[in-house]
Formats: sequence, structure tokens, C-alpha cells
Amino acid sequence: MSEETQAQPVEGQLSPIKRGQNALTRVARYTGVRLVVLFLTVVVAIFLTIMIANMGGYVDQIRRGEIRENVNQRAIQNPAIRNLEPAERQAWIATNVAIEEDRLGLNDPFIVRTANYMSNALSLNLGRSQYLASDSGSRQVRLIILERLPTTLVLFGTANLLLFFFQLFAALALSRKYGSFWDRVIIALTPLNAAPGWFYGIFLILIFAAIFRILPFGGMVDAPPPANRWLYALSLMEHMILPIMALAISGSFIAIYYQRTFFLIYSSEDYVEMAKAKGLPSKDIERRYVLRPTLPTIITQFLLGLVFVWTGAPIFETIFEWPGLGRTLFQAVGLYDTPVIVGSTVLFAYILALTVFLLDFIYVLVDPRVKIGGGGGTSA
Amino acid sequence: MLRKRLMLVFGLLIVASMVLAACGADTTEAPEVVTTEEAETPVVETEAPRTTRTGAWVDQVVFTSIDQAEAALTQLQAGEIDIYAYSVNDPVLFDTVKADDNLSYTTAFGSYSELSFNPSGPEFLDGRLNPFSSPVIREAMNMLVDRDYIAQEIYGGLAVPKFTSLNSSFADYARYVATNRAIEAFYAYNPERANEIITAEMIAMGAELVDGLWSYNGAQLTIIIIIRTEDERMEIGDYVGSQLESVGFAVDRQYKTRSEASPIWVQSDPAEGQWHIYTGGWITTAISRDDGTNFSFFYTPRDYPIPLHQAYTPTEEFDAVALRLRNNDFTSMEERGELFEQALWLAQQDSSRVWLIDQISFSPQVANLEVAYDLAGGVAGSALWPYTIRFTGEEGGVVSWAQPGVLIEPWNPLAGSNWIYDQTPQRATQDTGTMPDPFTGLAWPHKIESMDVVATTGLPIARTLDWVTLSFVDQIDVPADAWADWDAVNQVFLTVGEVYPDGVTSQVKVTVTYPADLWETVSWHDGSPLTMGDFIMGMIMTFDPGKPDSAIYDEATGANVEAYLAHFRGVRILSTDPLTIETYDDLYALDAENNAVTWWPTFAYGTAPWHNLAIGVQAETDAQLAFSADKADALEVEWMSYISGPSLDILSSYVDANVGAGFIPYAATLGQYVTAEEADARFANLQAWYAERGHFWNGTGPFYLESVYPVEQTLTLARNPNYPDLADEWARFSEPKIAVVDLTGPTSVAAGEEATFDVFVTFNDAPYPGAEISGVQYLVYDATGTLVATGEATFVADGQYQIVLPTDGFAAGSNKVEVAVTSYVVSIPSFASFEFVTTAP
Repeated sequence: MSEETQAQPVEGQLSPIKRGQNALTRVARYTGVRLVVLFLTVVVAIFLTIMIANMGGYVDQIRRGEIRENVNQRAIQNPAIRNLEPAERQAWIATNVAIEEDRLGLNDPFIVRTANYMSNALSLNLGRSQYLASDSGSRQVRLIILERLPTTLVLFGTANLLLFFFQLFAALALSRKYGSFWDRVIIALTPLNAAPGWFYGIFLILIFAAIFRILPFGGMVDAPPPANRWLYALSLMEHMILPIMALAISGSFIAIYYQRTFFLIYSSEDYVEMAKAKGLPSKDIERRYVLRPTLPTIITQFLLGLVFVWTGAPIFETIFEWPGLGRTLFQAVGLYDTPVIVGSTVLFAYILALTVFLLDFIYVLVDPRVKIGGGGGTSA
Repeated sequence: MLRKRLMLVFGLLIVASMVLAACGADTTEAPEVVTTEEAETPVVETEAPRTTRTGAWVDQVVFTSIDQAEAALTQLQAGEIDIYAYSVNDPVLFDTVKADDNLSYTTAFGSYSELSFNPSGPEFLDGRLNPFSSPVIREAMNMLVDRDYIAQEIYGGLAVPKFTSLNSSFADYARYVATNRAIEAFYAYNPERANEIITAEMIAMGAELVDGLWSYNGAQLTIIIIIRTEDERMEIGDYVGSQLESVGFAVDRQYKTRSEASPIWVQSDPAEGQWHIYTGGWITTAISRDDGTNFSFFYTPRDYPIPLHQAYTPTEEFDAVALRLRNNDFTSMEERGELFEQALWLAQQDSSRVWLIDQISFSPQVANLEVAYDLAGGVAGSALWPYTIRFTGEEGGVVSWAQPGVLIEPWNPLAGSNWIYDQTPQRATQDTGTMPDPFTGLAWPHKIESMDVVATTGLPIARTLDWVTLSFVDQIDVPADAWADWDAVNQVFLTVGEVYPDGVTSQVKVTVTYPADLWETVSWHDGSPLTMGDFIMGMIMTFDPGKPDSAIYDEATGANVEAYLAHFRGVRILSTDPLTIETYDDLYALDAENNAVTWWPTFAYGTAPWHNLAIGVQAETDAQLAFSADKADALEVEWMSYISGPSLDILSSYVDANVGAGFIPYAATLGQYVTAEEADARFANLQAWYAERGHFWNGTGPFYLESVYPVEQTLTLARNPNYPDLADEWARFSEPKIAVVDLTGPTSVAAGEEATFDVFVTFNDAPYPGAEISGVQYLVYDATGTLVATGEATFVADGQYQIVLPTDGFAAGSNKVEVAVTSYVVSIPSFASFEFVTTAP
């Protein structure tokens, strides 16, 4: 985290009103500076995205080549065009090339288009895609993203939520029984997390879908989808079992190991020993002396995990035939569809910036030692 | 104890999963060799039982999306899906399918690979020598590459060698099979000969061999190969590089994707010398009956306006022949044959391109599924799949159909999705006037009953099938009252008399006649009967979107309409009951059957009745939606979709407004054929259809679009219970009749004596009917592989032919006689060969 959020030393005593005014000024100043810095970060991120997505303008050359190839292919495959007189045929090709170049804005200088992309992105005017269509056929970038977002959220959001709490409680339980059998099992299984989720997905599909035939191979719901919404929900849940299992195998052990170690460190602090010596119940000790000081880390982990759900997971979604955002963005990158790439990046950047901004305030709420903007005040 | 048991179970689970994974397809088995002589097809029943069932054999087809062929195969084996309608090229998967008794497959030719040469030179702008500026070196490259190696080792048997621009499964290859085979023998792999030719030519060009590497003006020559990385062309590029290294060239292999390669080979000036060789690839999605334009396109600067093609310098003789073939400048098929023979040899001498292979792809399916497939487009590209798909011997059932994408782009009939994944299900919802033969590319009558073609005397048009009549006249005058163009302002057709006050002639006149019961038997999926208005609206849509004065003018369509009007001369409705339409045109196909212009209301991107088109026209007129993606972008509105998305609400609002309003679009013209009552009934039908189905896709085909789930990536088609035609109408196309040829004869012949060889032609072990055989040609090669004799075998009986070969002048030694059998009912020729020895007399 940034320096401003570090715990501050005790200062001299001030009147409550003065302290309140100082605190407000400090918070306002911090908020302003923080927002400006985050905004500038977003601007830089978007600019870099535009530059990378367009290879600094080289994509124009690629597109011009592709347009000519595509138009010529159309001319070859259409007997009516193929058999035209050479001059008429070349005129047809030239017209269609010009139309496509105009549609993609290739006649405008790249710098002008970059400026347009920037201003549209910053004002959240996501515009229209150049090639991709949403599932329902729209070329509005907003709809392309919004159509896929729920499916991504429902899978990765659910998985994140389930796994987060499972990992948290498992880590707590293991920290209580350091060196136990299950503790050793989890440590032994952590190397499994070296492989990505899609890798385990292949095995799980093979075992549970191809061999035992008790779970579906992939997709979001049965085909055709059940008309009854309860049956639809049931089908959806059935299709989520294997992906979540794959995510659990690929991510849980190391997360549990990491959090359990974290809890163990806090469990050996002097104040915890003191609490134990005082005879406080172990649940209270966990909640007040172990869990609470680790909350900022846990919340950061949780929220950033949710934010990164936005990016989806192209290979994972492909293995499970899941209609998620990751595959859409992957397609957009392959097609150099700048508006879609920029649109998803700008939304991601704004959400990430907002999360980072909010986290600073959340830290204050959950950890009294932390103060916004540093400066005066005493720690608890 | 419990822990130990759990650990044991967990451990077993991991071991089991690893074992199961290891039990997959055996990747070490050698791929099966596929040759044209023994092309494999799934064994299915050829004679379908007669039935009273109409329309589709099955009740429902459910489309789902599976990206990976490996995953699809696993699901096929598990019985989750019934067919994976995608052109798979993986030889390992092919072996897996062949080894599984529960699976079957269909094959298709459509993709082909070649080497494109940069012909600029002899020197590039920077003074480097370009060896491939010499046609001699390019021609020698034909012998430096081993096409059999490429087909067998790189493609794992899923390819056949290719020497010319003609696809080995299309009509022109079969027509000129003797020339093609002679070329194949002449340019067979011969690296020693290639090296000799290249060495001599390089020295003549001023290069010298220094330490085994070619140099020019003291600098080492390096050949730059742009190698595409997405498919087998990567290995081809590596192989060609190695072959070039073997004859003294240093090679710079540049691996690039399509996007990366395109700016270099398509856009760069060849004289800059950014590349020497590009690993090109092409695709054909329909069987071509006429490849006469190939030579002009692939070897001259005439048809492809990119810098590379502008650098082509064909010889005058070749250019003239290519131009004549391009423009059908001949009067008979015999003359065309002579031109083709010249062009094929001259193309080899030019060799701006060296052709490598025709790729074979396959689509796996469960063994008890039957479906007609197209030799070029496979199952997905087959027009007949909706009419033929069935479980063997069954009526009814649900087919689970998977492909690598579903619902890619908006569906609308005028300028909607061009994706094959969208067009495959669309095809099931529509009908057509004629149906392309999936094995020859010739048209058969479908909704039309008959066709009469009248051509100008001297045109090289020929008839193969007896459902069409063909006649010739000295001149075809287009009647003054025929419609020749469209007035978008007044919304009326312009007659020939108005457009051509001095009259106009055409090269062909095509008259199609529909059955007398057409209006009683055919109805749209929403219940509206087919009427004359649907045909008239189709005619209007041919012109109106391309007219600048139209409210729905589209610049891209404008270019198409301009191109169309360059050859279209007029259309006239002779009778509305039975419907008879005659069309006058200057553009014609060599096959009389393929000149059909039926005006059936199926458009480039789907089908639609006039009232469905009307709401689209209204939406575009009001700038709410646009038929084409280009115009949608220009107007910044949605690209019109009749099946999903924001378009539906807009289209629905027009339907609601039109119900009871008696609205008729283009009333000045369409109003003469449609009454206000019909209009009201139609919009009411469409409103009810939308309420029931949730979309506006409306056809006359054997299936209707039952439901659409865009995000879930699935759609369902259901059998159209009102479809009038019998389900077995197209059953005869369930399998291509690829002949199996056997050749026997004496193994030793004294020179000067006659040798007699017997040719047996069969299909499914039964004699191939002589009436279906178009030719049995023989070719004789001597020990050096030189063609020494050709001729036609003599018919003996069905499936039996005889070759009587005089051996006068034959040198003592081994010889080979090869026979090529071509058929009227399938465009793939079959071959067999026999080796014999001639001894001194």
C-alpha cells in the first residue's frame, strides 16, 4: 500500500474540534490528490492500451493488407464479380476496399484516432466495435461487454466467493493445528497449484463427463436451455461444478497455505500469547487478535480477486465452452478490434482505480491503527 | 485409519485420471494414406426407403458450439453430440475416427496450398539478384519439391499432390485429366534435374557458387521465405527452405501469422525485395464447374490489383490464352479443351506459383447418422444437409449438431452474417429454385419444375442433365416490356424500352417454370402462403438498395448492383399461374443447368417473405437499423438482426404499426400484386409468430427456427410440418459415386505386338453404369516417365472397358499404363495403373 496509509506515531494532544477540522482537511486533501493520481494512472493505462493494441499505428498497415485480401477473396468466390471485365472488376474491388478503409477510419491520421479513442474512453463512451458483434448481434462495445459480464461474474464471481471463504476457514482451521495431518496434506498438495485451472479442467471433463458421464462436458446450460427458470438455474449450477472444481484444485492449496502461514505469524504475536495467558476463549482470540489485524490483507486479496474477474480467462473458458468475457477479449485482441480492447480496459482500469481508492478507506474502518492521509491523530 | 483410506482413495483418483488421460488416442500410429484412387467415404445406405413423411427426416436439430476438434471427438465418442460439422485436418484425430466403429466421417476438398514467388527483377532495387525473376528457376522449383512427402508426411495423408491450379476433385480436372496427368508425370519430384536447371540458370544470370552457396556481385544470396504459422504451411516453409539449401541457397525463414505476413506480401513493392517466397493458401467453398478464370487470375496482372500481381509478366502467348479462357472466348468445349491444354503447360512454364497440395478435411459424426455433404464445402457447406440428415432407417429423433461457433453475427437476408456457422442453420430454413449437386456442382430443379435455356449461336454452352432444354439462336432480342432497371424515386421498374430505346440483345435467355400447385403448397413458417408479392419484392431488393436515390441505399450494395447491371439485360413475368419468368443476361455459365435464374425469394444471406423485408426496409428508411454492417457503422445504428438483440424491439414496433394498416412497401409496384387484405393478414401472422418464437426469421424450408439463445450459444431448428416435398426427395445424394477402378493385363509384351488391358469400374462392388461414365482414358508412360501414348478405352459392358494398345516403337524396358475414369455423377476422377515390360521383338 501507499505510504499515506501507514500507521502514524502518537502526536501531542489537540482539542476535539481542531482534531476534527484537521482530519477533514487531511481526508479532503488526500482524497483529491489520490483521485488525481489514480485518474492520471488510468489515462496512462488507456494510452498504453491504445498504443499496444495498434502496435503504434502498424496495425493500419496490417488492416490495409487484410482488407485487400478479403475483398479479393470475395471477388474470386463470387462468379458474378469474377467474370466481370477486368476494368469493372478492379473498380468493384477498389470501391469495396475504399468503403472498408473508410469504415475503419484508416483515412484519418492515427494520432487523430488515438485522441478520439482517448476522449471516448475517458468519458466512458465505449462506442462501436470494428469487427466483433455481441452474442445478440449488437456492435455496441457496451453491449458486447455487458452481455458477457454476467456469465463471467456468475462463474468466476461464485467461484471466487466460495473459494475465498473456504480458503479462509480452512486456513484458520489449519493454523490452529499446525503440523497436523491435514496441515501436511495441504502443504504436500500446494505444488498442484503450479498448473492452471484449464489443465485440471481437461482431466475433470475426461473423468466426470467422458468416463462417468455424470456431469456435462461444458457450456453454460443444457442445449436447448430449460424453459423453466428453476430448471435453468439447476442446469447452470450443474455446469458450474467442474469449472469451480478446476479452479479450486488450481488455486486453493497455495492460498490456504499462504493464509494459514499468515495466521500462524499473527498467532505467535505477544498480544495473542497474552490473551491466551489471560484465558480468553480461542474463538475470541482468533476473531479479535488474529483475524482482525489480517483483515486489510484479506479484504485486499478478496476485492482485487473480484476486480480481476473482469479479465475473464480465455483458455479456461474455451476448455469449458463457457461464454465468458475472456474469450470475447481474446477474440478482440486477435482481430485488433481497438474499441473493444480499449472499452474493456477502461472499465477495468476505472474499477481497479475505484477499488484501490476505496480500499484506503476500508482499511481505516477495519484497522484503527490506519489513518487516511497520515498526519495528526493517535493510533488506537 | 480413516485418513489413510481417504489418502488411498485420493491417490487412486489421481493415478486413475493420469491413466485415463494416457489412454487417449494413440498418436504413434502411422496415418493412413489417402489417395484419389481409393478415396474413402462412410458406408451408408444408398437406397432410402420410400416414405410418406414430408420435409425433414428428423424432428429437431440442436446446434451447440464446440471450439476444439479434440473436445468434439470426445463428446462424439461419449454420445453427447451426433455430428461435428467442421473441416478437421488433424491426421491423428482422423485415425481415431476410423478406428472407432461407432463413428463415421465425411470428407471434403476445398483448401489448397502453393508457393507464391516474387517475380521482380532480375535485380531488386538494392541490387540484389532475385533468382525467382527467372521463369526457368520457378519452373524448376516444381521438381525440387516432393509433393508426395508434403501430402503424406506433413499432412499425414490428408492431402493429395497438386501440380496445377485445378482442384483435383472439380470438373475441369476431370475434363482435362490426360493433360493434368501428363504434367504430373513431367514435373514429378526430381531434385537432380531441378538442381541442374537452377545451376545453369543462376550462372547465366551472373551468380556464382562460392563455398557451396550462391553469390551475386560478391554478396551472398539469401532467399527470404515468408512462412505462415497457423497451419501445415509452417512445415511446408521449413521443408522448402531445406530444399533450397540443398541447391546452394542461404535461406532466411521468416515465420509470420496472416496479419503479420499480409503487409509484406500483399502490400509491399515486390521490387523492394522484402521477400522471395510466400507460403500461400486458398479456399473454395463450392464445387467449381468452370476454372477458366484461374490462369488470368493467378498468373497475370489483370484481375488482382495488388503490387505482387502487377509485377507478373506472362508471355504474350500465355496472356492471350489466359484472356480467352477468362472471357469464354471460344465457341465449343473442344476449343476450350485445346486452350486449357495450352494454358496448363504455359502456366507450368511461368510458375509464378508452384502448386503443392489439395487438402482433404473430414467431419466426424456418429456411424448411424446419414447426411449429404458437398465435395468442396463438406457437411457445413452442403445445401442438402437439411433434406437428408437422418438416423439410419429412422424417422424422427433429435440431432445434436456441434460446430465451432453459433450465432456469430446478425442474421438478416440482405446483408447479414456471412459466417458459415450462421449460414449452415439458415440453409435449413430456406428453399431454393434449384439445388446444386453436391458431387458435380450441376444444378437440379428443386422448387422450379423446368427450365429452358436459349443461347446465342456460337456460345460454348452444353447440357448434361435432361431436366433442362438448351437451344441456340442467332440473336436474342430482349422484349421492350421486360424490366431492365429500377427507378428508386418513383419506385417502379424501368422497362427495356425505357432503358434501351434502340433495343438490346442478350447472350442468353433463361425461362423457368414453377409447378402449377406452387401457390397452394408452399407457405412461410408464420403461416402466410407464398404469393407473387414475395417474388416481386425479391426483384425490387435486387436493385433498390444499390440505387443512390433509394432510402435504403448502401454504397457497398451499389457497387454490386452496378456490376450486376453490367451484364443483366432484363426480366419478364410471362405468367403468374403457373409462374413463368424469363431472364435475359449477357453473363452465362458453360453448363446449361447452372444458368438458372429463378427469382425464388432466397437472398445472399437468407430467405424472407415480402412482409419481413418490409419491416427491415422501414427500419432502415427511418435510420433505426441498417441491413449491412457498413451502413450500420455509418449511421451509428444497430446492424439489423431478425433473430436477437436490440433490433427485435425496433422491428416489432413496425410490425405492430403495420397490423391493420394495409401497409404495402413500394406500393407503386408491389401494390399491383399485393392487396391490403393480404398485407394485414401477413403482418398479423408475423406478430403472432414473434409472440410465439421471439424472432422474425421466417422461411419456407424443411426446418423453422424454433428458438435462439445467443449468450448460451445454442439454437434449435424444428421440422416444418407444412413442408410439401417428400423427405426422400434428395436421398440419392447420400453418398458420392466415386468409382473404384481395377486394371489388369499382360505383364510382358513383345514390342510391336498389341497388348490388351481390361478395365473394371465398380461402385460398392457393383458395375458402374456405362451411362454415368463420361470417359475412360488411358495414358502410357515409358521407363523415364515420359507420356508416350494416350487414348480412350472401349466400352465392353457396364463396368467393363478394354484398352487395345499397339506397342510399335516402344523401347524395350518397363512401361506403365494408367487409366483415368471420369463420371457424370461425381466430379472426382478415379485412377488405376499397371506396369508391364516390353521386350525386343
